[in-house]
Amino acid sequence: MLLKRLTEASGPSGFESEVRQLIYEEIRGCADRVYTDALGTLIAETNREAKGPKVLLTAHMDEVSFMIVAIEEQGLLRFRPIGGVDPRILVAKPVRVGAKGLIGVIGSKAVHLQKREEREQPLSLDQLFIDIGASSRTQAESYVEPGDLAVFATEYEEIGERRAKAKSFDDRVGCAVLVETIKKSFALPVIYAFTVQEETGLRGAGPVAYRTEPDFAIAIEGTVCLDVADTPSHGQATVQGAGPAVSVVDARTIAHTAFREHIVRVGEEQGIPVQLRRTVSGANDVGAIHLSGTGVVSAAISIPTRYIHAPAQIISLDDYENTIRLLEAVLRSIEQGGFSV
Amino acid sequence: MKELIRQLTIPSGPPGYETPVREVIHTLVQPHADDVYDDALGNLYAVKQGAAGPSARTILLAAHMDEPALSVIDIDDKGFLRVAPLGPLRASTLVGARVVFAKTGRRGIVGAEHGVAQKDLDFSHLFVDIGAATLDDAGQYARIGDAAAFSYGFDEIGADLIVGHALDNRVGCAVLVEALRRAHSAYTIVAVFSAQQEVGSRGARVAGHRIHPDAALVLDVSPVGDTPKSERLALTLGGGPGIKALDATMVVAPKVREMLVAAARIADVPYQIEVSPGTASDAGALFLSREGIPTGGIVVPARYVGTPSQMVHLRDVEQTVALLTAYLGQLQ
Repeated sequence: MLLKRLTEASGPSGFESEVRQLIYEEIRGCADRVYTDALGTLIAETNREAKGPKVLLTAHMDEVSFMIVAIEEQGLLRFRPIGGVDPRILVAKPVRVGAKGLIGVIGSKAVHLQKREEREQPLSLDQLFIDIGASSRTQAESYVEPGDLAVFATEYEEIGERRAKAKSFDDRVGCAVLVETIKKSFALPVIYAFTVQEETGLRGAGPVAYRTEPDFAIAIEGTVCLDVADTPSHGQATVQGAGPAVSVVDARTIAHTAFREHIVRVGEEQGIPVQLRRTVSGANDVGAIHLSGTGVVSAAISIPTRYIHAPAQIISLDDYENTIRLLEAVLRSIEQGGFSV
Repeated sequence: MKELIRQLTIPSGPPGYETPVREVIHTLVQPHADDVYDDALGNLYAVKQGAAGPSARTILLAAHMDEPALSVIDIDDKGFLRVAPLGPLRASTLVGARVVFAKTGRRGIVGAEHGVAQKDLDFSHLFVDIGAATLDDAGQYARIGDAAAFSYGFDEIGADLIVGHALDNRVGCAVLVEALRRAHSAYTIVAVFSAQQEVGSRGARVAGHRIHPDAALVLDVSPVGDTPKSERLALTLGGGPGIKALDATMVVAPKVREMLVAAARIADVPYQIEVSPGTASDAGALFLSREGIPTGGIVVPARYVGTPSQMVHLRDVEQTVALLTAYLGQLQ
């Protein structure tokens, strides 16, 4: 199962090789040319000779993760996050450490031993460590060294009614959408880019756009979904199950108005539910792509992801499938000359 | 100049939806340009070929046309809109503000939820009332993603002072329109009315890459330090154009600055040196385009920048045009 394999693979920012290899195996037969750039982005170019506008599709392979920075006397590992993680959600979560995926648990001093001031504050990173079951520094050093990476250890499972939980739906769900899409055929030059280092500042996407000079670009993302109890409508950003969310404004991009309106219209015409992403916070690869070269007409389509950047994220499988449908419909519309600028 | 500024100040220009002001500028520059076009980010380019012919070097002149605005993120059942900021706006200063939607022209008032202390106000407490009774009714005038800017327009105080919510930076746009009309230069002039400056000079970044000029200048306003207990800043209102030495986005090379000082002498206008570490401009984005572009700036001193009532002295504007025209004339 593609979503299971993709979300359970480890892909810290800058260390995406396991995810990249997995995607490469999936798509190798589907493109004219598949290659990796200097930063590690996997690029698959299809229909290179076709006429018509060149379209760049991106999804990022990396996920929020941790780097081991020191090993304590007792064999406990000190760590620092790579990408934005709320330290309050970390304690007691299982993680996988290093290339071998050793299981560890994020621990801290017991609550009854914390001083009153400590108890009143959320645990900071300095109060947390990863316990891999070693009893001494020497023992731990035979398994791990500073610089090794760790990711959440969550397994993919389908739950409830058409929902799934896993780590790293942000943005393996986008990677999965691209893998499903590249298997289809379009009479357009379409470039699929599985980018790196998005979580550390959209670093992989800019060079891909610069290299490929697309006419249009679309990023597929997992995005915030805050539609849970006690949240007013204007705080929700997206609603789970209400379809793919088209970005309007975020911290790095104001979407190209005509392109985003076109995408929404295509959804309406095809009977695919579509919502607008109703917040101006957050960012995705479009922030780098749309400013590349002389400027690129770009859009972002996102799958609402509850508990994003946390160990167990939830998506709606209907939203996932509707995103695949919407992306195909948008590409067909471009194929048929239905959108130009 | 006053009438030109008035014409440029009335139309809206939220970041990313500068269409109303872009259309007005397009009409104004058309007669004075050899080519006018726009791009994916919303920049408007007006090209005036240099007297040196096809081998002429190129200077890019940038004036941003956008202004801070509010973006609709939600509409409730009773037709009230929830909004988030586009550009540097503080929620606590917006209560009671009058705004206008760029796309539909519908006017609205910013309101705040009751019971929140002024200092705790953030955008989640604000709403815009456009006089709609229901969600469907509101949808005729504003939709999610639509943007509204201030609607105060243009005012005069005495004979020399003008006031407006968008003098930052329609004054710069007016200077650029007028300079394009007057200028005779060996260089090809590419006037860029840039988009999305208020959200981080996004338009200027792609404009610098596209034009790849030999030199660039930004035209903007800059805050003064001449009001009671104001921030310590070098500029004074009515003291003449400011020649940029430093802002939050770049440090100008002394050579570039000296060329502008020389032009001020040729034009016989007073000048001031702008050192404004808290002010963002398009200069930094242009300066870092491609392999790096020699970049400077000329600013019109302005009071109350960042509020809906920005104030500018007309003589400063006239002298800025004179300085710029002299500079363009002596380029070889």
